[in-house]
Amino acid sequence: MIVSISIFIAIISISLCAAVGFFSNLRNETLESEMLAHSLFPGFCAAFILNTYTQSPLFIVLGSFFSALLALYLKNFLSEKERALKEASLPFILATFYSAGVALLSIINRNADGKQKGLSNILIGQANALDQSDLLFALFSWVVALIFFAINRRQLLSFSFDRSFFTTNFKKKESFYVFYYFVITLSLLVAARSVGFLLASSLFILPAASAEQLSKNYKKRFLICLLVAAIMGGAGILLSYYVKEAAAGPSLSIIGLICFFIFLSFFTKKSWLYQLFSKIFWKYKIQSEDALRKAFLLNEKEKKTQFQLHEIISTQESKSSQLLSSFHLKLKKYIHQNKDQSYSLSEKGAAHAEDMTYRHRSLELFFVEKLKIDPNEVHELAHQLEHYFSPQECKKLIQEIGFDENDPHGSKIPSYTLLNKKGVPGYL
Amino acid sequence: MKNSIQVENLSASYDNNLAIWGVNTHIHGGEITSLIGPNGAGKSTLIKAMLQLIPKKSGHVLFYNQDSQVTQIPRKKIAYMPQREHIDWNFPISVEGVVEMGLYPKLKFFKKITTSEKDIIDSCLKKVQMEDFRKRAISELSGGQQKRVFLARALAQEADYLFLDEPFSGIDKGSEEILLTQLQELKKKHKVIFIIHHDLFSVWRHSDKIILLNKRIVAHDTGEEILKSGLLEEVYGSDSCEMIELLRKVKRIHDR
Repeated sequence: MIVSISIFIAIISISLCAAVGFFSNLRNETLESEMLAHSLFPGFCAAFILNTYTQSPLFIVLGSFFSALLALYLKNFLSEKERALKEASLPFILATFYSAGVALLSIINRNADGKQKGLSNILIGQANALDQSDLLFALFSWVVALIFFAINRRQLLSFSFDRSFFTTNFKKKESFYVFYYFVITLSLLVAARSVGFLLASSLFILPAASAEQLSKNYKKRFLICLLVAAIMGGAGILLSYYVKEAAAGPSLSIIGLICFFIFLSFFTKKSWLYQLFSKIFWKYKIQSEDALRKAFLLNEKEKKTQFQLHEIISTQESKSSQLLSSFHLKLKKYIHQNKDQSYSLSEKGAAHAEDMTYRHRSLELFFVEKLKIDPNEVHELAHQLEHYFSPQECKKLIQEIGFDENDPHGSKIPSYTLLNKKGVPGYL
Repeated sequence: MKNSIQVENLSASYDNNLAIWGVNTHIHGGEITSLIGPNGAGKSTLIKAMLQLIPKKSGHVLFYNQDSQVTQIPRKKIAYMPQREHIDWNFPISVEGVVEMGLYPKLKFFKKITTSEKDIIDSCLKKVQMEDFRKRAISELSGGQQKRVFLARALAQEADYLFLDEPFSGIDKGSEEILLTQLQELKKKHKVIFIIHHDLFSVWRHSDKIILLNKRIVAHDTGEEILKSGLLEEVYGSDSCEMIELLRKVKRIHDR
């Protein structure tokens, strides 16, 4: 029960950080998040020291916020002053503010108050010991963030994609920036409670970086980002629960890193898994298209509408490959089995078989008439290329020839118009 | 009365070095004005300072609309196409999404995109012949197609002042023709069209007026007058004399 409550609070907290970090990632400013995460630290500690009199969480939030604004101001000041400092200003401010924060923390830890309030965990977080006050703070931050997203969703997208468009077209930019950095401050404070100031930016960066591998659509990417945050929250807390020695904060970040590497290794177009699946897909796509064309030829030349699988699937392939091809044909519902155990083409299969024959024969015609290739050599060439040309491309290739009724070997080329009327995919 | 822009004594700097100083000019609507100058002449800086994208040292810019009203910077009426390098082309947005962005400044907080706004997006995409690519990610387009999409966004904005930073650089002939056709259409609507040009050989074909900049305005005239004046050699340096002479020959052949 305690674990499930911890998981719930962690998911709420991390998803907020992921949602806000998503926009930093879109603007390629993840390093700025890192800087901000560290620059909140002295403001947080200073406010904590002063807060002994007021006991108000608002004080902590405002202290952190002003610390973040000061860091941003210094960053802009240094970047504008000297262009060479543009890159160096981020680590410079990060190190300065973080050192100041550690110095203040050591002062706090000298008295019992800091340890009593769990401040000694503020560097590495305590994601598995979050309580009701953390949940309330995370929910409050979510509400503020949602209000910001709702009001500024268009500005935020413009700002992320094309800063000059945002600057030249929107008014009240100052209030937008203040609100934006306030939301970042809130979510970084939530992150600091979960994984500590040291790793707070990982909650900003990892879900967004993982989602970046999977989609080119920002809405889908945003949802994936939230999903990764949920996985990080759930799996991270479980990891820290079952591996007793593992601190919860780093466990969350490790799960985030694992997600990132899994997505990078398996789900991008360059990943080996994608390449492998793509290779397998094309292999069976080509084999089943060849099988369909054989079935079409059996019908055309021998008037055979029923056949055995070995008649259409190449026996030169391995047994397992033949089995997979037949499975693919059945799965796609291109063929169906008759009562006498023979097979026939389904309506869908017959249309696709005719489609492949159209592509094959029009390519043969194009090779002979336009490229002047020997008719005896074009079959193999067309056989290989028919899988990669769309019907429209084939139509374009042969439309200037002046005739498209028969291929160079005298066989009839199926009618494009009829295939279009039948609603075969690709015939527009 | 046409839209126009009055620039008075504009100066701006980078790293405490003045990039442009004392720029005075008047850019009229209903004609295509191109800005040329050697590397480091301050072409992009001038546009950015005019649009307040960078802070200016001195001077001011006045935007006159068709009713002769003057404003400092007429937000929502400005379309700016930055240089290629300044856009993150891997941004996860579709062609349609970019053009839709052109409508954002006019939409209220909670107003959704309606059918009439979708029609505007459609017609803008058609004008730049990108309607078949509407669902494509912007990262999957060629350089010329990406610039066409940005022009479509400017069309959707119904901007009165268009600032284009090297729109013809590195694009195919087809895209160049499409951009030019649309710019001619905008010219007829008395829009201010201000273009930074990198190619001296094509700038004459694309522009009605040319501003020659070398940190200050050296000339603001028709292409023919600037070519005759000998100022090009002065600004581009003696190394470019042969190229400019060749340019004169090309122009003479073209004029015949």
